[in-house]
Amino acid sequence: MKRIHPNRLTQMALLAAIALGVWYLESLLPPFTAVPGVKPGLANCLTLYALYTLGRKEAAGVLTVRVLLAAVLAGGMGSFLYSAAGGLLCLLVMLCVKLPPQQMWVTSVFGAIAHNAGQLTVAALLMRTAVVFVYLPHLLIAAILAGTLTGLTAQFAYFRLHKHTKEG
Amino acid sequence: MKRSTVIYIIVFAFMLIGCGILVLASDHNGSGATATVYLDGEIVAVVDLNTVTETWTLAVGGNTVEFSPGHVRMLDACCPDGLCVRQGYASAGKPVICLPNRVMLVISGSADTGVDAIAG
Amino acid sequence: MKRLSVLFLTLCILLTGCAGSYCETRAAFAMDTDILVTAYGSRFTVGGAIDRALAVLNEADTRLSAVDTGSELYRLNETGAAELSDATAALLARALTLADVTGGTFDPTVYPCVQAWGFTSTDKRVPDADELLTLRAYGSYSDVTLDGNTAVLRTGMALDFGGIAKGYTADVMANALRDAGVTSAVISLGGNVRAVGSKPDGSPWRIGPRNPYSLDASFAVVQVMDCSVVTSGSYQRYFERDGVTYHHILDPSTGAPARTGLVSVTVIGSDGALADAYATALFVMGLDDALKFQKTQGDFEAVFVTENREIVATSGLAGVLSDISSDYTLRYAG
Repeated sequence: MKRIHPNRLTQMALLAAIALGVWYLESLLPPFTAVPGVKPGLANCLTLYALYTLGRKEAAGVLTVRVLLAAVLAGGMGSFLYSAAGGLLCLLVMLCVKLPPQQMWVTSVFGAIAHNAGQLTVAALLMRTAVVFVYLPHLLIAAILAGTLTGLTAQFAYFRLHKHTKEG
Repeated sequence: MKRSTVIYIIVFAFMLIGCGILVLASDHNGSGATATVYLDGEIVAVVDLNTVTETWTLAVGGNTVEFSPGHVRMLDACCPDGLCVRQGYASAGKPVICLPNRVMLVISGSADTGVDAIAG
Repeated sequence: MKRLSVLFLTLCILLTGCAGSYCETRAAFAMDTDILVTAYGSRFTVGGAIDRALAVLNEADTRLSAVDTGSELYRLNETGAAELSDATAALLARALTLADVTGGTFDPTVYPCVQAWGFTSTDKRVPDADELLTLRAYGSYSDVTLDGNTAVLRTGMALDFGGIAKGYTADVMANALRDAGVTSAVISLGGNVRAVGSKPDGSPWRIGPRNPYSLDASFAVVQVMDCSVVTSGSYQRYFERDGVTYHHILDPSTGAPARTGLVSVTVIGSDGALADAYATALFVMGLDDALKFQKTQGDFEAVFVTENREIVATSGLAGVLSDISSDYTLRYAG
């Protein structure tokens, strides 16, 4: 196994730390609607940014560290399962459908849809019922809106920060 | 703008509109006949809401379920966000679900006796 | 990459489509009874379809009620003659035909006796036989004249659609649901059940006639599609006086509760109005005459529950009737 260059490792650690911070700040916000699982998912900006600037494995690393640390902070096996399933599915889809940087927001929307579908599936398994899928349309709307928001944020950051630092 | 970007925007917009209509169409507050309370996927209580004459409550897995004539809702929940409480009364198309405590209120037409309707 | 993204886009659209299968149940109160409508279909149409069915129900209720002072029927009973709407005149014609076919065992003109017993109010009483015969002597179904939309009653007569209105209304509501695009639904008007189409998975609806000796359950299951299942039972409305039970199914020939050894009669037929009227008529006829009548007609099937806890079903129900309660013995009429 190849060792990771300290420079990359530092960047990964930094991104994971920011992601955790963003995740924590977001958890302080009051819920937007009464439907469970509807939230902006801003921490995904960091995963997305890592995916485009560092690479696939690195993005997976950033996400895993963030989800694990968040679980330690928040506690509760249930919420860990939800975010782990959502995060994993989201990552897999974004890895598969990594579009050019100009369409980063589309990749983000796909990821968000997969995230919410994954969470709903875990909910259905945990509650042992398919009834939870009545919330599918709510969560699809949330995924498209939130995915666009986080995707565009990551996209702007990519073009301003990453391109600039590379050239400069 | 690239053509594929335009296509993505159009498709997502259609999905938004479609889901929006679905959400609005499912938002009925009509009362059903029977409320089934689930905890961890197991049935805890089945209540014929038409026979409820005065309001009473039931403690289920850290939550409090309130039955009133024709209606059922989550009155109180021990979880921090209390989303299920904000969901209000359950209806046939809109069950109330508490994810953290895995409690669920489902409305159905009749008690589950293997019969769709009773005549007489 | 491009192909993958197209694939994923398709998946997302499918996900949106999946969210569409939908069931809605709504309860209401009309015709002096509990109404329950359950309809399956697309989220876009089901709610509106049930709205329309309930609107049709309320319209029929205001037209056909015998106690509502604003109804057409009330006006006819008060004045003895009235010009009816097309729908009400058609229903009256239907009721008179069914009364004729059943030999007067179903008769909408028994209403003065219903009132005398106090079944329309809270003051129940036991009228004596003479009083009832006097009330019956005012006239029977053959004394109602219906010319076009004009109905004329003899003095002292009064009509009530109690034995046909619910079955008829369930049919009209079923048509309203179908017109609004619903192909799968169950309508229950106080236990007068109408099945629309089949269940969403294509299997027949399972309708359970109520168990007269255990009222929160059914004594059997009949599997039907596009069919009415109507039960008349002595347990539905009754009162006790001096140790004697008086129920609401009156024999038009005497004006008194029909005592034929039957506890309930369930009629299964494609026509709700007919099933409703026949459920009453068969109860009044008694088991033997009812079975003979069913053989001559053949446009319906029936299940009888007798006082000795026997279930008798017409032969056409073999294979349709299942889940018989162990409290009973079952036999099919030969």
